Amino acid sequence: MSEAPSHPARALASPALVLCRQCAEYVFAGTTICPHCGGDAREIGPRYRDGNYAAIEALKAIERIESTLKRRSG
Amino acid sequence: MGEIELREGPRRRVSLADQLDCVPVYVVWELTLACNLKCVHCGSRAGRPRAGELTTAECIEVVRQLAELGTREISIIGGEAFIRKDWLTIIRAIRDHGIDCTMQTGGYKLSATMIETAVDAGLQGLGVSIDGLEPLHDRLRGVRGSYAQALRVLADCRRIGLSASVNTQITSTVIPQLAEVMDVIIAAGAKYWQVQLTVAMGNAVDNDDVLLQPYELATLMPLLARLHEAGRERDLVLLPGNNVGYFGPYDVLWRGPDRGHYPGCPAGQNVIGLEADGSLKGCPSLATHRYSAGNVRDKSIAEMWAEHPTLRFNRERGLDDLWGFCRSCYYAPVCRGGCTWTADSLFGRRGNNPYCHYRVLKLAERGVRERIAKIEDAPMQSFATGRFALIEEPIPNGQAAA
Repeated sequence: MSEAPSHPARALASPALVLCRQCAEYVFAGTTICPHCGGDAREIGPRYRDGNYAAIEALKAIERIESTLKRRSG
Repeated sequence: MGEIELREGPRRRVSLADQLDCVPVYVVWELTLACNLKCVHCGSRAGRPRAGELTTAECIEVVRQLAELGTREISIIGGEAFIRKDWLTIIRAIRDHGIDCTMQTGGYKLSATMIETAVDAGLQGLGVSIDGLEPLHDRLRGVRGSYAQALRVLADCRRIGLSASVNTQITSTVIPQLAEVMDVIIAAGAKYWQVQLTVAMGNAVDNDDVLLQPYELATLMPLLARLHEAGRERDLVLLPGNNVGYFGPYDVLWRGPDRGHYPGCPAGQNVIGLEADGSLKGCPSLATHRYSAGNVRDKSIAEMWAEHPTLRFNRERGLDDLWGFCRSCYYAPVCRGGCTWTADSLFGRRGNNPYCHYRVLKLAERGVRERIAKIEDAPMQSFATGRFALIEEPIPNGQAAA
């Protein structure tokens, strides 16, 4: 078995999706009109509110920021 | 979902940094192709050992290299991994290098004593295959008594205190039994249930009647959603395998948002597959002749991981590989055709995956559905693929998409 190379592999990350705040299906960040339900993807509706998705998505966003900062500092 | 429920994930969960730095977080390692079952859907056509399987010393060197690359979990599989005489030595080496170790098994002839010694060696989790209720499971697994043994292994794990999950192949015949299968595995003490669609590879091409038709996702996915919700009430988490998806109305139930949405196939970006003779791929199940990056006996894993084109295809997230429906799909930049193995095995080409709920629903809006039909058999080799045609047809009267 030979020596390891000095150049590590690199990749791109998946584009981020968020939940439509009406139907809770995934849409691209920044979407205004949901392509799935036709509603305002930014306006919180019952399904999104009752599922506590706002809190869960906020925690995921924090996790993403932490991961980015850790990578920059490491 | 009424309460906020954030689950602490396994160490193999992939972070953004893992994606960008291309860390091979999770490795699935076929320790041997020897197997004591004769599964009619086996993609690797397991049974006899491969010629030239790695020696114990070579296996330990593989573990050392993977640890250097940042691997956090190795799942040992077969064939049947425990048929190798040195399986405990390899488990111990994995743990000694700071890597989590789990094993996937059919459970046939895996005694309680063997499980205890594996736990002593460092095994942290066991995935047991259950493909239906007893008659169906024994028929699919090719050995009478294999169902009873799988359940006995789950009971042994519970008694010993080893975390046990259940893996179920979704074949054309199991769907009506899934609710009862769930009852059985909850009673047996399983906490996690991973389901995966049977893929058209190896023995499953020979026995293509076991394959689900893509349009059957219209009924399967609502059923899985119901089972997922019912399972949570009973302390069982139903998890979708990489080829169950994608997006659609139920994805948020089992993939997100706390787990993150489906990011596309991780093969070659955060996953490595190893065959028992040292062949290295981006996923354990991909066709060897199209996706092997070489052999660990000839090159370092780091060298292959950094450079080899058969490992790099998912990393730049390009859309050039996509074709058919997937090419123009709303989710194309994220999903990129879903599971590479599923599409590539059907058509000899990745990038167009008819086993997609979102796709099934979009096609149904036009009153059409897709089915597959075999046009070429698979050679009698491990991880061999045949060829299938994809046929679009009107949805028969009275059969609406769910």
